[in-house]
Amino acid sequence: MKFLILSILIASPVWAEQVKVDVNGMVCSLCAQGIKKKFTGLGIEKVEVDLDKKVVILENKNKIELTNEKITELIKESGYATAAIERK
Amino acid sequence: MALIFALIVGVFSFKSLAHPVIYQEGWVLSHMSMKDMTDTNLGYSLTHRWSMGYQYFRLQDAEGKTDQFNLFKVNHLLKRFNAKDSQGNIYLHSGLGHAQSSDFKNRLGWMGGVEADWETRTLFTSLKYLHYGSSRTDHPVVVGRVGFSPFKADFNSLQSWAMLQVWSDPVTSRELKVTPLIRFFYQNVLWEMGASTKGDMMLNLMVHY
Repeated sequence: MKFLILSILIASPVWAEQVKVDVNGMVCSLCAQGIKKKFTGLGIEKVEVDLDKKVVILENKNKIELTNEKITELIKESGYATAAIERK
Repeated sequence: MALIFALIVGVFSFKSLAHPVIYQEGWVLSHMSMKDMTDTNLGYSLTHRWSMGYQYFRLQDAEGKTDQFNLFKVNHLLKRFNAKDSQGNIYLHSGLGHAQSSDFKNRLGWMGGVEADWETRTLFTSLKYLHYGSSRTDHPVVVGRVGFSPFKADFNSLQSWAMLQVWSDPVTSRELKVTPLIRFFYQNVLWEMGASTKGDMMLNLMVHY
């Protein structure tokens, strides 16, 4: 029973890591589609691009290994520059 | 049905403002057409700095004489300026392949050029110089654009722009072609419609995927 409850809690979105990435140069929604494509291709379940705040919010529910270096690399491959990374 | 066909033909017979290089592993399909020019591109970005692809480019002068090029293209993002609220780019274009003029003789064709742009979410400027050539013909083409967007659209919303394009190809026409146009994009699709000050239609479609 304990194992079952623990499994449910671990699988719950409550435990999903959220990463906020400040991105420079992100002014065009057409071009920024590449960011969404890169991270969803990696297996990140939810990728939100906010052009007003110049941030990308990643919800890592699938527990994909997502180091700061990997995030910076994918943002660079998308054509942009990472300004800051914040984890919640 | 005829109307749908006409719309499809219309959309695919205008010149495209193809992004020379996009995100790594991204594809670009674009087509742009004006009365006397057709430009079709299929490109693949190997990295966010290099892309390769195919271009069909056709020009027609006032007497109906044409020059057309089928080129293997390599484009390079020479420099990108990523600022918090803007992005600027300098691109290099190159191409090599087949050229044919109105005499229907096959020749080696080539192109080269440089392009620069700068944009915010509400302002856009670009300028490019492209030179198409063969042993028979030379076409220096200069295209400049300025534009503004009346509002800042969200990432997944329809974005609209008003733009002014100035096109110069002194071999085909001695006159500058000035074309006000409207640009829309939604997610990974961009389309533009305009009419020159002489009433010639311009249409453009571009898809990133």
